Amino acid sequence: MSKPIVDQVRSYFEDLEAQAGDCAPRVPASAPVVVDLDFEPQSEREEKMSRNGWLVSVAAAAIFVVLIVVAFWGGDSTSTIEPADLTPETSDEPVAPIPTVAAAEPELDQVALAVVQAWYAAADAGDIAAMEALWTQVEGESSTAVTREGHLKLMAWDVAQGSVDSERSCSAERPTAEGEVLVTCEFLDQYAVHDLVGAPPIAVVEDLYVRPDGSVRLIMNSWDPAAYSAVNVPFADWLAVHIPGEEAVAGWGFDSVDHARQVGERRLELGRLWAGYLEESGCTYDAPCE
Amino acid sequence: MDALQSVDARNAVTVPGEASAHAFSIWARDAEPRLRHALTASFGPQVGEEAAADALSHAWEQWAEIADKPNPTGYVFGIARNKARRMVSATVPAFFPMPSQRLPDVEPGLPDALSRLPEQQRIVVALLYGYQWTMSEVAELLGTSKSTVQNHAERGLRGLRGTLGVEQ
Repeated sequence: MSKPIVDQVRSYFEDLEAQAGDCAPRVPASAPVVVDLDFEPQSEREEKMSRNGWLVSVAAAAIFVVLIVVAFWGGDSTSTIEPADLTPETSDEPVAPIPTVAAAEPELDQVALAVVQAWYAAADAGDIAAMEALWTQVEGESSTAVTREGHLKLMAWDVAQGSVDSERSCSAERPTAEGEVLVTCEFLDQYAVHDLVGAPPIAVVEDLYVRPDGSVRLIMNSWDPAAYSAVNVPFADWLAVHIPGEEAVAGWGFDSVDHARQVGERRLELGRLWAGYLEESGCTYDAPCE
Repeated sequence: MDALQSVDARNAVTVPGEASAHAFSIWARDAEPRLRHALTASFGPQVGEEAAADALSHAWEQWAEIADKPNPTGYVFGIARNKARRMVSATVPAFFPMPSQRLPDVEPGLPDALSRLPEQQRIVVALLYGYQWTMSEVAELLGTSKSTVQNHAERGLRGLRGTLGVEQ
């Protein structure tokens, strides 16, 4: 069952607001009022700028020197790994033990990469329990973050359809201030229904924040939603006409992980019907029959 | 108000004095998010953000005149909306991007459905349900009655449900 439309609108605009906030942090409305909006006349501003110009130059030169030193000493901060050997059919096999990240170890980024590899192995195997064990994200930590439960639902939904990701290319950056490692992975997500109707896969970039204890704190993914909608919208339109009442499989509203799995399985069945219909009628997903 | 003004002769722009600047800053703190929300609802976040910044700049330059208006925020919103309309081609609908990531409970077609709504309905739906404004606040900004806002809201939600094919 989908979330009520008013709640969807709220979630969507919260996300927009968060994005805007990321770009340009604003003072909350409740903050004390201070006249600091740069209301000085232009002449005063220019006078001040001239007076302090040499200070700015010296500061800029100092920062430049510091950056060069930091770059020299920290140049070897990024490493890459080969993608994991991912076999979706091995869901009964135990997932590799969770590595622990020790903050003082020099191979911190490598260990974090191994954690992410274990995460993806669990995801591809549909092992939700292993994923939960790895992930300790705090609900509500960020309004833009997909919550742990929401993410697990999506993974279950994906796996149930038999969607396949291409080989992942991951790289780790130096730990954040909190001792975390940011692992960024790029891959192509071939959704099952996309595959059935011959649509191209969708490029995805995921950022996984790995804590020093080896848990995944947060996952942020970015991708081109239009590439998903290019198939999902005509799929939903076709369902509305030919199998009314089944449009829910085109959405992402899930009551639970099990429900997400059921919807995924049903989506695959109906996707096959749609693909067969398109083939018989000589139409394509991006040029559907009227 | 005149006694509070000084003139920057080089730019020929009337610059409010300190007391007036203080009044402007108080107003701007409240008005900035409101203008940004309302203009985002009108034109989408990209144009809306720019239009809001432009509106505040305009308000600062014309503060002597605007401060005396009974509803300065609504007045500035009206000007900003007209100005943004001239910037954006009438044939190009408001653009609402997809979320920064998959929001599990949001229909993928929602941004597109929002852009298809008539502007007035979209503004009301976005402000009421997206940004959690009260009915009175929306009515005040738009210079209309609460019952009109209510009508726009109902039609807007109906339009979204119809486009997305959802029931509730």
